[in-house]
Amino acid sequence: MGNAIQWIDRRFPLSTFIKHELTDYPTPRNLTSWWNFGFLAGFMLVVQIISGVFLAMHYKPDSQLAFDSVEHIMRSVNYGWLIRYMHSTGASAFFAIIYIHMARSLYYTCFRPPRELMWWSGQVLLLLLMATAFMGYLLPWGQMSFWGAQVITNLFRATPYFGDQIVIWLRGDFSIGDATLNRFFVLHFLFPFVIFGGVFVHLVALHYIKSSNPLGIELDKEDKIPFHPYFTIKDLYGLGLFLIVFCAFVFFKPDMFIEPANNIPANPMKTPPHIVPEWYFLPFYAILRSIPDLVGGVVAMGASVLIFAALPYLDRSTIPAGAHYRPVYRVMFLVFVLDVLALGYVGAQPPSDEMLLYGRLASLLYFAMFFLLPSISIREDRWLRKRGLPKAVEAFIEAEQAEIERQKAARRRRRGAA
Amino acid sequence: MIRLLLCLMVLHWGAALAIEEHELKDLKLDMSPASLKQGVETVNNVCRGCHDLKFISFASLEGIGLTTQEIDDLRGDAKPADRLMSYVPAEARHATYGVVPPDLSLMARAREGGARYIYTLLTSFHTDAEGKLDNTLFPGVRMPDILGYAGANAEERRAIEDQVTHVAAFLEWASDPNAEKRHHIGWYVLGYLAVLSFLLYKVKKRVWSRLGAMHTSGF
Repeated sequence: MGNAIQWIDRRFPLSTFIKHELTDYPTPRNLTSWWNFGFLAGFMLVVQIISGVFLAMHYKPDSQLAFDSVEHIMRSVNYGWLIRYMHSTGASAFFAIIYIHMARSLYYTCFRPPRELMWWSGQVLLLLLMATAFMGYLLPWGQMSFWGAQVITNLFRATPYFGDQIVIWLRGDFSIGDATLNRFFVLHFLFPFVIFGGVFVHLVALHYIKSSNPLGIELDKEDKIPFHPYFTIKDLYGLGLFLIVFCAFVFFKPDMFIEPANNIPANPMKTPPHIVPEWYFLPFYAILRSIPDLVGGVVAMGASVLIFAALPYLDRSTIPAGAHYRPVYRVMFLVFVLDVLALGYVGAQPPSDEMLLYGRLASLLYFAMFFLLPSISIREDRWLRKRGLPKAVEAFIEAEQAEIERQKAARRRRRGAA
Repeated sequence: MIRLLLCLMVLHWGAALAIEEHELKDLKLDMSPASLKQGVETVNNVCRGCHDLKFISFASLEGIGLTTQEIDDLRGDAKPADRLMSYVPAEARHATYGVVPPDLSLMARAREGGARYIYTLLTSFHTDAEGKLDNTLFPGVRMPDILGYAGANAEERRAIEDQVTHVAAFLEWASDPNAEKRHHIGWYVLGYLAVLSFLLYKVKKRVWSRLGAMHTSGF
């Protein structure tokens, strides 16, 4: 064994790699469970790729066969139902994890320098994930698959000059059809591997600048612990808890994430009464619908996803600690989360005057949070500086000092006793 | 903060659930073999007059506990591998109703409310003031009141409701024949994961205890 590793090490930096990225990789010891979700997202990507590859062995990307081939998987393939439900529930789980991962970064302002590239690579990954999920949703070829894709591809009509041509180019036909299904299948298979590469970049950046932590300040060397075994075991424990929730859905409520209308084969002649996207697109869908003009709606929806990238420049506070020590920012964060949930609710409702009003108010609030952030964060910063360090920070520093002294005394006592 | 987020999630969920299922009748699904057997008999003798069940083969009815003899009685001249297609060709049905009546294999999943929708639809036929047949749940439905619910008296209606309960149960089974197996495996999976997570928690505790008492909970 030792010889084999030596043989490899002379040709490939295996031991150095493991040492650098795992056994010696310094991690802040104060990471809370919210730091578990990056690992969980990586885990879900692997689950989706593996279950997806097995589904692709039985699935037929043909408008005449697709719907029946999914039922073939559900009924005739050995444990096909399990693979399919893992994949369909997995999409929702993936988004839930990514949104929590993003909320964590927002709350602790992990987008601040020097983590801009982490934040932006994450933004690109989010866009890729959304595209992959959207194309994957067409594959079961149910009513909601078909009409959802019809509505969303139609949005590209908003492109200046080439709108109509671009829509046809995307669909490969004048309407969603066999050509669209086939190309969406190919791209849905390809994109996860692009995401995999993107995750690699995200991780290289992470291991270069190291993890953020709830305090937002760079910790001393003594306050960092090796990733392995401390965070490998913590992440695995978190994975266990996550899998309990995930499997509860997969085995007992898998149809919760499949619209009833998607159990009806796609019918281009019959529009379903109420077209809704999957839950993870609802807030953005609500923003799209709150603007009566097609171009305006598309621009607003695109901006609502892309505006996150501007955060490193919008947040002007000099206090590094994130929302925990910034009372105003904390309120803004909570209002934002509430607002996104409200938008999600509005997005799920059939259009009505009342819902349109709520949707517009919530959309306005959504963007207001971003546009007000520069001036609010500057004022908050000034106020906090004038008031002195937050009490919690002071208390924490004192408690930490006392603890270190106590441990030192205990060590001295132990040495004395020995 | 975690508590607040959880509260928000629950509220959100409640609001989302309140959207549908306002006008459906209550239904207590009886998934026992006896009930499913009665259900498949009605489906075979009545529903198949117009509807296909293209994902259900006669042989697969073993899944609801039918014996080979019972399956043979049901299928008549058809082969065991044959699907439960309608007795009437699609063209003829299209000529009668203007559309081909929908396939029933996935019906319990293809409507908001599932089996309750099926039960409510079949027990919502009535004759309006002008003596015209209609359906409260689906006004203008092209499907005839094949079980004669509208013209039945109270006692006959109870018998029909009973019959429809079994049909709804069978279609619920047909929409996902692996559901029972899935639940069965699910309990083992959850049990295994609970034990695994508990052990991982213990190991985590032990590994982290090497670091001394400096706790992280105050952050």
